[in-house]
Amino acid sequence: MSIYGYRIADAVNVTSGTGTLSSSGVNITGTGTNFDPELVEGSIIHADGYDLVIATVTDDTHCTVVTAPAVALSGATFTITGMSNVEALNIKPPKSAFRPWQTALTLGDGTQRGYGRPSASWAWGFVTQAQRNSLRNYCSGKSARVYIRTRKNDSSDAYVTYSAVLDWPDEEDRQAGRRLSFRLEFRDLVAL
Amino acid sequence: MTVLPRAATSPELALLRSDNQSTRLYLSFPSFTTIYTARLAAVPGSTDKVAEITYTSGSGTLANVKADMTLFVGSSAGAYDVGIARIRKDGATLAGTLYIGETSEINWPSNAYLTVINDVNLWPRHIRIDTDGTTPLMDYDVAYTNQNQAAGSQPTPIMGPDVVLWLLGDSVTYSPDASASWVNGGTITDYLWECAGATFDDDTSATPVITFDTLGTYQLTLTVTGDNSVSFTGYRNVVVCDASHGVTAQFVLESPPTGDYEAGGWSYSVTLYDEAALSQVRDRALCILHAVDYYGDTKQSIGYVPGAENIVCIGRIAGESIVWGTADSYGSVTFNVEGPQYWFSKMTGFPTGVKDVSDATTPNKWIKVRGLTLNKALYHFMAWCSTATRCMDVYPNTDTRRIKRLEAPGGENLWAQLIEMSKRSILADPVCDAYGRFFLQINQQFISDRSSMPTVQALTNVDWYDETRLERVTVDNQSLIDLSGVAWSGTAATSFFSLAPGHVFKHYGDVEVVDRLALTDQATSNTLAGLYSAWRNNPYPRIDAKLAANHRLIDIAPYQRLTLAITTSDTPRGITQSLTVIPRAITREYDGDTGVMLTNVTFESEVTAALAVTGDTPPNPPDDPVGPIDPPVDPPPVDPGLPSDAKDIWLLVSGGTNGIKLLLSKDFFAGGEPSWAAIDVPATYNIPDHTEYNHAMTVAQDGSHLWLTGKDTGNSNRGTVWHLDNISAVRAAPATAPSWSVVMYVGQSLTPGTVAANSSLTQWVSHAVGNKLYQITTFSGTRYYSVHDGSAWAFTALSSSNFLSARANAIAFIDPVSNNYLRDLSGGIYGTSFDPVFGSNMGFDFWGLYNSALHFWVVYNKTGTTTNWLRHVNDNTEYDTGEVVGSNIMRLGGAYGGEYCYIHSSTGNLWITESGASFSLFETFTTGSGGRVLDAKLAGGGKLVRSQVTTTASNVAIFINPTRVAGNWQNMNGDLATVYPFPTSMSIRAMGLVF
Repeated sequence: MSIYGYRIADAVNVTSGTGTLSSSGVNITGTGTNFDPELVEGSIIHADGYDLVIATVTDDTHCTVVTAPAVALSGATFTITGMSNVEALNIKPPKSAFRPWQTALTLGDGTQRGYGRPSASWAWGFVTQAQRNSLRNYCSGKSARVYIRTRKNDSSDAYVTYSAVLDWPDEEDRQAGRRLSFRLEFRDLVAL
Repeated sequence: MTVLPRAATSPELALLRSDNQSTRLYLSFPSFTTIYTARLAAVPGSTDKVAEITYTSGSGTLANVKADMTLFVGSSAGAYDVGIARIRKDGATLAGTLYIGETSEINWPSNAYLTVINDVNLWPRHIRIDTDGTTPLMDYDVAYTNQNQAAGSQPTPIMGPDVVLWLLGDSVTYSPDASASWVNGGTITDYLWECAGATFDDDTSATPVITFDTLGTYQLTLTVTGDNSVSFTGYRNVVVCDASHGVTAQFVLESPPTGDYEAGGWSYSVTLYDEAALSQVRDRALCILHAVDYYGDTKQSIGYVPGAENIVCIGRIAGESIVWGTADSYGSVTFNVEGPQYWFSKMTGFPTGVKDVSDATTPNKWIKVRGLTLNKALYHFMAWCSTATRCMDVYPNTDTRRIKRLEAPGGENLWAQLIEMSKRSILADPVCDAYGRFFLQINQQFISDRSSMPTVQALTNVDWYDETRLERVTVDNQSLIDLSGVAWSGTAATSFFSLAPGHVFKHYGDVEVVDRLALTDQATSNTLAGLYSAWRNNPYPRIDAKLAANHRLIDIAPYQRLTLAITTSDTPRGITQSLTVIPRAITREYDGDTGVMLTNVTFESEVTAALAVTGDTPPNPPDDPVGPIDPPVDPPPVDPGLPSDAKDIWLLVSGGTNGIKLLLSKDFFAGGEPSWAAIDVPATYNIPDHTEYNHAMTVAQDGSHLWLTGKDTGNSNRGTVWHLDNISAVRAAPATAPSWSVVMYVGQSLTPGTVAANSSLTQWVSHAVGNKLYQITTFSGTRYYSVHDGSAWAFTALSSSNFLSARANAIAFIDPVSNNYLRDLSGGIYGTSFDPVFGSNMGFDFWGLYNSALHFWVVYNKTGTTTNWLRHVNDNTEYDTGEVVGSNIMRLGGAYGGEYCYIHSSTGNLWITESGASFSLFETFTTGSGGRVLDAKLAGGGKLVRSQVTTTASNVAIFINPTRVAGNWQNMNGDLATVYPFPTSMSIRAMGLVF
């Protein structure tokens, strides 16, 4: 595990999980499951319409998730999204930014209120062609829905896993096989 | 399910005031199921008025074809390129035939593909007149039995809107609430839910829990049964979706959902790209805009309809704009989506209306309702003039005021008719909320007790952003409100008049008259006048606020309010005001890029009653202020010296089980079905012997007096004239036996002598001309020209040498005011010279109507001819009717201005002339079954009235021709058969009009 926690995964390619799941709060109990090694901390499991981030894996049939599903799972089949650490893509950790809202409005009492989902950005001074291509795998078009793990603005700048929309930049500044000032924008962040 | 919205809870308020509010919008087009397919077996003989079609090659379960489902007619399987129709009857009715809503808009191709889908939509049901030309039928062939009575009233299911449920987990539940379902005059006793593919905890509960475990569109069915044992079934759609099924997010909200109280509902438009080709996105497709909402990290939708909080707006596609993009761009289609109010407004409606009948009367027609209230009219309108109660929640109006009649003569579409009926009677407005639910509610400004209306939220400075604009009115719009109406008990109307602020105008503004309202008493009338005045002079009629929240607790209906406090330091104007405000227009602004949905609202400040006092009763208050203003009369009256139209009609009838009666209708000429009242004749009255009894009852033109001429069975059958001078009292309370006075009888001693007892005087027939009664009377051998003006007789002796007969019905009165021209059977002249060429047989009748121009007509057998002639006495213009003189009865039915009717009863020929300029056969009647035309009169305003003998209870007795176009007769029996039962036969002996 890197000292940095920036991770990314596309929202399309999933693998089927073995067995079925039941839950009680954040505690997941598997039946016929093989949590180790199918799941690791940070993996996302998809069951009954919920996207759940794995917090801990105890054994093949027990694990916990970061946020409990609103409706408990009961014999639910599941799929798995494995998150990739950006360093595993041979990309250095980005300089990240986090915007907790899209716009702010001034209220009648003079204060402001933020509206819209958070957004985030990852920026590099440059990325190589290969690094750029690795990232492009997550967004072949103008935009794609992805999962990311990035820092939010709080007291500890904690890493949080989000569902997000990745917008590919309209222009890329090519120089000597590199992309200068390369920046990815993530919108519509929903914490998982 | 609670009808009213509710106050925001504390947790909801915290969410509404939280950061990071965001919304993802989705569209769902319910995917309807094909129920039955077939091919057209035979092309209808005409494209016009098609109400049923035959089919072959049917596939599916016919019993699953239900009334008000949708029929596609196409050139290929499943297509609707030829047309779309409504299934009119359940499919099991008759195999091989599909009954459809009557249509003329489909050009049926041979062997067309027929597809029935389970889309139950809003359609009009047209009224049709049966082949007898008189009997109205609803939805093509539904005859009236007892549908307007409690015993036959259909229940109205209230089962919530169409909903979209997200399947998260193995299953998802939905808990509709049908406890607000209703039936006129009763209660709901049974509920039965059905939904193929879903499971219920209790399918007979008003509040079941329904579980869905599979994606798809479900048709939810609720059959409610009233304590009258009548059942009715409603349909709604449930879309069970996930992110990949049943929804699309690939659209742009072109114009945001907007609700407007004045417009009566909601609408929005969306642009689709690839999704535009979806098969569900057809014309009039149901289109549900819904949301996944976040308030910070809390995923929750806040709305006031449980289970449907995620719904933003529901409507159907009403139109589209197609963009044909260039090769390097992309095309798109923008769809306009409209709520029910739009569809009602697009449905042409036949003139509609209902009227109250007395508690003792059993309604026998579609237009009659006992104990009529606005809600009963609403039921009639929504359940029988449209399919609304099938596919949408129609909430009842709870006002209990009894209303004499509700009509919408000027409303060309169903929505306009709804407005016409509700606004004019109790100041109510039809409105649909964002869910497409319908409310007919009194404008809440006109309700003095608003304690039951929820205050959704107390708005503070943290609830709005940008700026809030207040329009402040400092100059009154209305200086005086003159409000009036009646309280109708079912038998009597009590008028109330109110003035706000009082008899003295306010300094500024106009006078506004608000009349014909249904009222309760003087106090509430005054309060209403005060509320109306306060509303028209509302100091804050418009407040535009941008609410800083995704706030779907607020809607334009049903009743709700918010509060808004303005402190002195808030505005440069230094106003301090605590306002209660009513949302009148709402826009849910949405930015798809940021996911931000905000709520712009136009409020109206709530008012409290201003000063008002009891108004002054006008000298001649309107008889029936309840109801719409009469439409313009067309054509205009010929003679400006006469009123434009008759007002009342009086009949003298016999043959019924109740004996001889007078019948009065005060609304005969008001449009719609008339109501009749039976009035007692003198206890000893009998019809005169002579067949020319059509003047046995004669009524003054201004309605001030009425005379009966006939035999007094209590006085040796002597010829007698009875007089009634308290007509206004009789008119107001016809059930009370009138006070008759005898003004002349055979053997009576009067000045100038004793009324002679000869045969002719047992057959008296008198004439009312203008406002007086005219006749010839013999006193001790001398005949007198006799005029009764309502209080006394005036007698003028006549020269006996010029007088050959005393039969009054053969006497011609010519200008009785000045010249006293009289003529008897032989053609003898009384008064100044007159030169007709009457033969020895001077017809059988004469009729004249006093007016400013004085037109008189006479029927006679012209010397040297064998036919009856008509003469316009004023200028001696003659017309040969061609009708051979004989035993046939001929009568002049009535003159109006320069016009007259002439009826030849035996042949059934009605001749008519206008202004003496022409004479022609208007129409020949074949009454059949022993019936025959008795009389016809011109009633002014271009109207004709015709009476006939009936030989069975079902025969029609009296008609009106409102446009004086041959064949355009309308049955005007109204409730006559109830008021005056005539199981075997009936004869209208005389007919009189009051102008």
